[in-house]
Amino acid sequence: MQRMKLFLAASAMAGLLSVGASAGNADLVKQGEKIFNTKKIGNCLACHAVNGKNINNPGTLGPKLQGLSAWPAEALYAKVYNPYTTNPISAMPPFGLNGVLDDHQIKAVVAYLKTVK
Amino acid sequence: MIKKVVTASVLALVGVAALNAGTYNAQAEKDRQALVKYFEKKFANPEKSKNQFFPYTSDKELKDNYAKGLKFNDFRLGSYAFSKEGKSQYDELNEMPPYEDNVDAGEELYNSTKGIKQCFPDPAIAGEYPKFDDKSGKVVTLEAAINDCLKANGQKPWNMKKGKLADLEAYFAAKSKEAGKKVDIKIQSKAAAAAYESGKKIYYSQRGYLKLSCATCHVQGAGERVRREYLSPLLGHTTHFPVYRLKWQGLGTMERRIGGCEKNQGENPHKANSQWVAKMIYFMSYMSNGLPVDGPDIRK
Amino acid sequence: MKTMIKVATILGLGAALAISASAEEVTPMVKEAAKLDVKKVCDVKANGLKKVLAVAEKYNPEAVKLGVEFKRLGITNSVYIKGLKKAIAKKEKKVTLHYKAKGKKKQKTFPVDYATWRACTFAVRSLQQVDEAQKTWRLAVPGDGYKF
Repeated sequence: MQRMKLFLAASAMAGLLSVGASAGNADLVKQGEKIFNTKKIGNCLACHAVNGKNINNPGTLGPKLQGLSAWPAEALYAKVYNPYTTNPISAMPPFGLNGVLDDHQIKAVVAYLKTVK
Repeated sequence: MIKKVVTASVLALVGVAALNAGTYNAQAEKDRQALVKYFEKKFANPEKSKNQFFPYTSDKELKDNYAKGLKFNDFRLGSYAFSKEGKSQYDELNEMPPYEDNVDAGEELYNSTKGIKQCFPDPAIAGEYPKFDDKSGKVVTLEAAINDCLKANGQKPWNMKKGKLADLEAYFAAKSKEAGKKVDIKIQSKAAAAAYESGKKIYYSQRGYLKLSCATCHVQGAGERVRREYLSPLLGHTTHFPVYRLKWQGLGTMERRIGGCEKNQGENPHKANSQWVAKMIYFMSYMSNGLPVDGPDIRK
Repeated sequence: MKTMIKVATILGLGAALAISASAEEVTPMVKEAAKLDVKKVCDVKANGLKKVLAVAEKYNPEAVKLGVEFKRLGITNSVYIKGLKKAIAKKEKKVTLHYKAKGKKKQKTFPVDYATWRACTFAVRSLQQVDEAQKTWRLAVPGDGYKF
């Protein structure tokens, strides 16, 4: 049972890590981009411009995203899931923790963010 | 012997302090002055203080669109105080203010509604509300005071967010502005100070599924943009109500605006006549003490 | 006469409780919710729909009482929970929620799994944030905890 649990945990992690790598990823990236740019879903453009992407009137409440392709996928996931671990009065909502975006949606956003140079 | 003298002088000091505790607004004054200091510093020179206050705004935008050297009175204009493009749109709209009909309608209501003239013999009182009523232990907004007056005169209360009540307020605000009144909120009892503190805590507490406090946007985030909208500062927020919002294509009260903000935070809004809303308005209004009353006004 | 006094007292007490409860204080239910691992208790795959909805039903009324209920795009968590109760009982895969926005009747359809996870998360988190706010609110106040 313990080994089973470890195996499942490892493959879940591997699944997360492979998000940036696999070629069949293109669909997930597209989903993530939609979540990023849609007001009624993630609405990330409300606060974030993105380096190298043509975002429609992004806000300035958050930093312009760049160099994210170098971030580990888990770090990107954690940030979108709950940014308050670093700053308790962050202006960025905890999209995962507070039930806005589910696990699949955050993975899609992470796939998109991994394409940001 | 020395012990007796020391005790006596300590008692005397305490006694004096107790007398001076008549300044129940001491903490509120501290808060207000700290807030003014923060905003004056933030908007003194946005281009030069990018790293400290506007870390995510481009140099170009800070240079081209942000006014410099904002002083106390400027803050009554909200985001138009610092956004050059906003100010020019605002000036254009003010050439033919859309709220003039509302002020006229308000004057008509003032003269024709049973009891209103008796409850409010001097209409230039917009800057004095909210007040704290020690008898009931409640914060009374101008909206609530108008409805209390209607009820006392056997009439149904009006909608607190828009319509007749907003029109009547437009008249009160216009007369107050005419008379050169300033925002002058009072905290004159222990209970009033507690209500102020409660409103302050509400303002600064994160809420909703977006976990935003009012301060996230209007203190921390003031001057920055969400999409294309510049976030206005807390200082000066309440001076210009009731407000003609282009989004509403009509006039609205503080209660109307706050309901919208709560929805933006991801929370089901409190009722317009709740003490929760009243206490928040009490805190917010005190923060604008000393600024000119300049309602009604236009906002996006 | 005695019954009238009884009723009046109960109503008066009720009103008093209601007034204090809306002050967003840390009530016993808030303290209880604060201890939960929301990711674990709202996991539909691990716990099943009925158990997860039960968590939402347990905590959301307190959120409503305290004035902290979440509302997203016109839909309150109460509406989520009401719709899900029926859909889960009928073993449906999708749930259609009926609500009013700007005076108009509207509806939106969700997968039941997704909506149940959300309803549970919304209920628990709305209370947890009441607890969290007690420790963090002063950090935002210029002249108090706000550093700039």
